[in-house]
Amino acid sequence: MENTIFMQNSILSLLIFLPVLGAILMLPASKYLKIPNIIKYIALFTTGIQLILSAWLYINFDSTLSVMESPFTVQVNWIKHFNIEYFVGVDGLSIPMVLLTALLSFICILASWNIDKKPLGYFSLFLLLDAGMMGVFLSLDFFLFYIFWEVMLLPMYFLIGIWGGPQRHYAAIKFFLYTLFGSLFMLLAMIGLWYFTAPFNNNEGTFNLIKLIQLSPMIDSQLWGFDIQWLLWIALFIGFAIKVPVFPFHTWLPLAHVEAPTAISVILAGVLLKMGTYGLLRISYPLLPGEVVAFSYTLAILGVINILWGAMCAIAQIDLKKMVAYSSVSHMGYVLLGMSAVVSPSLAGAEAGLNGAVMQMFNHGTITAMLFLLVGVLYDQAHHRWIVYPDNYKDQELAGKLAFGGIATQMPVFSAFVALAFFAGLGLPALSGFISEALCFIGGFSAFRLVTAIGTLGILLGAVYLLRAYQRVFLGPLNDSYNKLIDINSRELATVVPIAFLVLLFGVFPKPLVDMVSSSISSLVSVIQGAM
Amino acid sequence: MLETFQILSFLFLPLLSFVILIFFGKKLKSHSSTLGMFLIGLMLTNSIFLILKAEPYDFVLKTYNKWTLYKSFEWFSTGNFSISLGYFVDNITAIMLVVVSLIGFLVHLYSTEYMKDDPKYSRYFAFLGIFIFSMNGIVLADSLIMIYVFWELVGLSSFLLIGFWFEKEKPPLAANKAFLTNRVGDIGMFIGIMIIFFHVGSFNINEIINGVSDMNKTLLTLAGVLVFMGAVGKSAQFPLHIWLPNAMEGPTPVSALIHAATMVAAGVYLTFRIFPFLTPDALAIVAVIGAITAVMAAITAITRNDIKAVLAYSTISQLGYMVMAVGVGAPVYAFFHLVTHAMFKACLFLCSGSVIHAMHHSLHHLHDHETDPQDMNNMGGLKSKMPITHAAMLISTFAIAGVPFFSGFLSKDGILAAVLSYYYKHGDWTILLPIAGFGAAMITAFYMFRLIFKTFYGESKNKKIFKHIHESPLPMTIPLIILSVLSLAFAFTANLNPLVSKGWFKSLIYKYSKSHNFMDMKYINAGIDAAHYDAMYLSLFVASIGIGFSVLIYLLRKINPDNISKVLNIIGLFSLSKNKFYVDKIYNFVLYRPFLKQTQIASYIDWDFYDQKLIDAWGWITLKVSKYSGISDYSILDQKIIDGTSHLTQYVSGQLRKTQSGIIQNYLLGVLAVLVVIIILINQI
Amino acid sequence: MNNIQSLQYFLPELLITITALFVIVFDLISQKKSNNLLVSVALFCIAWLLYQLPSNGGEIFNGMLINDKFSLYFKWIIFISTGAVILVSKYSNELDKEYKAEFDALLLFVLLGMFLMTNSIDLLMIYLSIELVSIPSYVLAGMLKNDKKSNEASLKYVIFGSFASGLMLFGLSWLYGISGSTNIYEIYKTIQLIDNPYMIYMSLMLILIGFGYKISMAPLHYWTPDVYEGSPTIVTAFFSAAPKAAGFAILIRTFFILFTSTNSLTVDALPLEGIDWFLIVAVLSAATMTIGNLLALKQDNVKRMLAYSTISHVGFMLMAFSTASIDAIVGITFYLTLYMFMNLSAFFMVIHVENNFKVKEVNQWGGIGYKTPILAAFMVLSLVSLAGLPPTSGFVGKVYLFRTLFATEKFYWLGIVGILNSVISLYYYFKIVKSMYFDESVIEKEENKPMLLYFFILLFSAQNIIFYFYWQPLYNYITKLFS
Repeated sequence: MENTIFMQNSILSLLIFLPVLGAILMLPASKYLKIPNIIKYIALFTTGIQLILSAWLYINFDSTLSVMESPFTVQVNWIKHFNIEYFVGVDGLSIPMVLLTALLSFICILASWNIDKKPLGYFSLFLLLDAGMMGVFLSLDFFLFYIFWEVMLLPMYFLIGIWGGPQRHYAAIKFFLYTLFGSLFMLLAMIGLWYFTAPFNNNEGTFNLIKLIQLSPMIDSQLWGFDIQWLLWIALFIGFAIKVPVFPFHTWLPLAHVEAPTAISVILAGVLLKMGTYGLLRISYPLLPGEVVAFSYTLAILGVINILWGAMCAIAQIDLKKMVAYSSVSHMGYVLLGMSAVVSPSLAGAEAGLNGAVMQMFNHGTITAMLFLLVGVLYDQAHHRWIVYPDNYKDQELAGKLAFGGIATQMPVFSAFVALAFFAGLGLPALSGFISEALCFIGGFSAFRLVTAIGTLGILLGAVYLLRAYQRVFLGPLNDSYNKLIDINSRELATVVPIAFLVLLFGVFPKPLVDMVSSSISSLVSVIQGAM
Repeated sequence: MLETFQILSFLFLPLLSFVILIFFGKKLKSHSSTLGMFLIGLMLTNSIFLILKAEPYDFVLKTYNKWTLYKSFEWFSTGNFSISLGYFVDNITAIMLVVVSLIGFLVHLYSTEYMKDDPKYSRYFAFLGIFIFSMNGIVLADSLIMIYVFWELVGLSSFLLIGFWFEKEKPPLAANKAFLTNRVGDIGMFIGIMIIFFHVGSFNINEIINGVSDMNKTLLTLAGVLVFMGAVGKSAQFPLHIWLPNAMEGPTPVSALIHAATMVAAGVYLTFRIFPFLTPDALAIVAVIGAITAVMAAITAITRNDIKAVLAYSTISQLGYMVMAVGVGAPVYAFFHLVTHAMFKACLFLCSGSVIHAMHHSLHHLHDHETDPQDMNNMGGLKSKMPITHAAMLISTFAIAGVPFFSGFLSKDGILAAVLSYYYKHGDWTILLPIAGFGAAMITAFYMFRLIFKTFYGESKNKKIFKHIHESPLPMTIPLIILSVLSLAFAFTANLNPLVSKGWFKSLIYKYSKSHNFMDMKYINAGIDAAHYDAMYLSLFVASIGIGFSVLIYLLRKINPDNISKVLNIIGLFSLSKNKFYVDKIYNFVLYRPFLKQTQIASYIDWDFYDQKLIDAWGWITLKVSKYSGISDYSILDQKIIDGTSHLTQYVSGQLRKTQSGIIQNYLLGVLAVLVVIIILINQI
Repeated sequence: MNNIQSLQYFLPELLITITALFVIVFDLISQKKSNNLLVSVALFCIAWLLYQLPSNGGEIFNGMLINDKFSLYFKWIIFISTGAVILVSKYSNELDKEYKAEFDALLLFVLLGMFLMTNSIDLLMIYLSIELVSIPSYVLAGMLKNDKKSNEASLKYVIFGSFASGLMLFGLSWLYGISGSTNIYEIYKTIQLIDNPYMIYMSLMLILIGFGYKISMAPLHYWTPDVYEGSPTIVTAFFSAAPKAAGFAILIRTFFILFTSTNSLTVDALPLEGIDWFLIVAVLSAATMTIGNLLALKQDNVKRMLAYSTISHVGFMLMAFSTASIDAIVGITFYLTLYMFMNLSAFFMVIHVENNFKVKEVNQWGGIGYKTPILAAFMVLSLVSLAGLPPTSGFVGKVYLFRTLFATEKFYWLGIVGILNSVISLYYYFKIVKSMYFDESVIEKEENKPMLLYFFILLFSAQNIIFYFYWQPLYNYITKLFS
């Protein structure tokens, strides 16, 4: 009993700070313990424990309780002067993200097993990144949220910049500057919220996101002739939109994804992108419901542009990884579309849309992780990822020719997994992507008919780029240059199989996922519909 | 409970087959097919038990029982929005299950021989399993969303089976084409489902039928047509029919099962299910699309030389018939034709498979890898070598040509009657529908007999090949025999009068002609009955003309086909047929290539222009500004202006103070200037 | 309080003077030429005296100086940074060991001047203290006698400095002319009655020029890059830290007392009637941070880059100053404290790298992250802090600066300018990081590790993380200074 209470109180903090501990332990361990790969084992162990803890959290999680009722919530004063709290808690919105983060972190450690260039740096930075991601999803204090948000940037910068591909320096700084640019607007909005809500709270500003839900809609002053709420919304939106990334802030993504090492691409696409939409749902939505109502049509349009533009660009890509990267742009569009449905006149539609959005966040996390992992497996052996050699390829004889072809003959198991991932990516029923995409469309359609109808073209375009790529790389007669490829090995399988399992599970049996999120979503929907 | 289990076994048995074979197929080796056959055999037995429970319509008492089994399970729910999965079994479902199981089983049996030497033997049967699973899903589904789910899964299995020989060049392309073309239709279907959902509040088909009455008619028409788009894709209707001929790249038994008998019929099945709430306007569109498809495909089939291509276009054409039948308000005949067509078309495909198999073996024997085993120009005279195949194929050809005593006659006759009565009722442009119907019937009879004559009759075109042709072994011929028996009219009527279609089968399905949300079905049925004889005589007439021409040209060789083609080409008909009405080419040049080009432009704009030029420009501009502010700070202000002043000073003062840089002074000047400006500004305020 | 009584509140300054003089004398008579021990002991004693110093001394020397918590706090941070520079200076390879004693003595004189700057309340003292800081600084800038750049720096500094001083003196004389007094409290009594704001504007502007030159506010920043580049690195480090603090101290005190209607350091300032100097400061602040950043962006020399970045940080602090609230000066003081140390840490690292690897350009820093991993990691921390990102105290400080805009609901546009500048600054700080970690190492020398330098780099950098997680006590302490 006591154990349970101890676990309840400390589990969230453990989830956040365990990786930090692991990272700190690595340095002495690598110096004094003469065990080969000790660093990797520490990283694996840490993320493994984290995964187990998050599973425990999931088992003991009661989705019907609000954050304040939840036994896991921890609220401690940190900086009294500013009313900054160490306030962490978990609800239906965050728990899928926590599970996703824990799972992908663990898997990415496995996927990084081949990293031999400065392993200490790599794995310790990775664990710091892990801690930052957990922190973002668990924080319920805006200041804390912002801090974790920014904490991730630094490890990410190094992970791309040191262990990335040929253009890694450019990609790293571009990612860094672009995201920072957005998050500084978020910072302004954060400070603004503190001040503009203070008059309604006995002149005490607060960063407490739960309290701010009541306070922030009361703001009704103006600045430069604009409503302050609107300005806050815009500032927050820029911050989050860059992370999502929403068109036209999306161009850092293909570059960063392509240049990052496999595991980091997985984390980038699987977790980091979700932070943008998570931030919108966690902060912008409940805090500024009035603006959500006004903005949702734009959001739907942006979502559809994301879907179509991302898919169009993906079709044209001749680099497999870049194609997957653009597919992320497209897939995050579904999330936006689903989110915009919150203003739907039909309650069922609004709930379908938002649930779809949250589920899509989780499902895209798993599916895209799988895609990147598999592309990584191929790259490890073939040392390139071209679908078609580019026109300016160094070997002019090969330029413009099909680079792979018929890999399925040579690597049947691998190709089967790729097929699974691709079909999941194009939203095939019985795989998890379908339900969330369908829900996003259903929700979006209930609110914005025409826009969503145009967006459904994404169903087709998604199939076009994935199937074309699959056919060109894996099917057809075997390209003789690749008759030495060996099939996926057991370590690589271990990274892919758990995800594949989840993709199948939530495709066939989405109830656990829906039940996790739906009651939080219902309350969010009622907040926003109340503002209409 | 037991009942639920019985119904769900239609899903679990084939799924089990798939799961076991995909994971343990390598170990089972040749036993894979045994396992698959066993499981599908169980399913077949099960389906027969099920159909025995079905309640027929009593034509005398005009009564029927509403025998239905249904159950639905909540899949997931978000509070106000939930999706349920469930089954709805009635006579139609039971019949479809029998058709799928039966043909599935026969194809399994057939494939044990046909695929014997294939290295991916077990995988093939696994794929068949997943296909049957998803097909049964569509059949059993009680809601549009569930149909959509299995619709896509069927697409997947079709993709897998068409691309089964993925190590070849063409099958993967064909598989992609099939999947993508289908998706075009699916988009429409999905939008249609959503429109209906947000008006009725349910996905359940029965609830929709009960709930759409107060919906805006125009919107309902739109929704209906959109849902029908799914059928257009899956049932290969114009303009999305282009994938089906390419789908023939798959193994022939697969073509028989999926691309002739079952999957492509799913579109018709869907249209049949949603028929009660399709508005008359929507139905007119359905009918027109069906008619266009029927004629176009039939014309195209005439000039095919690939034996499977003929059958593929013939399938498209027949599917057009069925769709047209639904459109003119005769869903019962559409369904009737669906079932009869399933039997004789499966038979035709399996026969062609048998021929190809024989050709292939012969070519293999000769080490000839150049000659196309499917090209009818290499065949001829096979009748003597392959008697069973020949007999089976002839029977099913009679069936498809609409000759009395054969099943096709019964169903096609009904359809033509319905089309004719539709014209009688509506007049005007609808004359085109019967013209299309009867025209296509004539052409069908013609090209089918052309196929028979070119393949089995006359002189052998290539003696060498001919020498090594043998009749296929028993596992392949047994299905042929069974299916050809089922292509006889007797099998559906149990009645020796060839001209009467009433019988056990029709009584099972007759009640479905009874209800429609917006039309008086009694009136329509009466019209069909009235037109029955006109249609029958006409259809017999056109069929005999078709067969007659075929006999003249290909059997007796009284007319040179080249002359005819020259005559026809005066109006361009021959080229149209030869080039498949240029549909593929048009798509290629109008849609596909420009689209790919556009994606490249999009990508270029996105990356090379937008990102590299515009986004990075901010960085670039900042760097430049910084550079120039550095320059202006140092090089210009400091070096040029200031040093320039300095040089001037030096010049004037005659190198008096060489050592003085003058720099500082000008800094100070700058400061003073700013100071003065600020003070002036302050005074202005 | 008369002069004799005042002396008890003047003990640290006295000891500094004595030490400075003694160092020179000791250098003349001693053969060993090492005064490290002596200086260390003296610094310790000064620290002890500072610790003993009561914070409520009030006006001393007949109203020339004032001893309050504000000045004491500034003295502490100025002392710590200057002391660190003095202690570290012995590791500087640039400095001629021959003149080490002079160097120490000059620094001590500057320290004295800066101490006086923090508590001058008399126009004369203001002028004298600034000059006392400036004149030894000119010499310090020219410490490298044989280096042309150093000489040039010194000369520029002298000319620019005297020019600014002259203008300031002119401004001060206006005040004296208006009021007939040199004590700023007395002057205030007169000028609040004056109708014509232009006279006060005139003197305000001129005085702002004097102070602005000290803190390198645009457009008085011109001397900064040249001087910072030409001076020995250790001197640059010093210039970029302590004198900025002293400059802000005197700026805050003078402006809050003289040019506001509230005449106090403990309440939010309101402008004197008709004199809205806040906007001027706001505009100058935007200019300062932008110019500083833009100039830093293209620099390849690490030292020069950090020097320009100092300008932009001054701009940030001026941003808060332009709102003139108590929160703002608390924020400035807080930020200044953190900034001084993170900046010194970065500069010390530059010294360390210059000493060990003889490299000056950013792109020569390649691979230093692996050569000296611990220091480099802390350098990253300092740079992140300078850029103002979590998890560092620089971020906290910047939040406080930005929040003053919201708190006073003024100059939101300045916030946007600040944000954009933060992004720009990140780029050049991370050029160093990139070089340290991403680029290939070209350095083959082994490093030697002077303990003291190590200690200071780690200490000054560690505050970045310590004050990030727990800045409350420090902030509360600073808040009390202004109550």
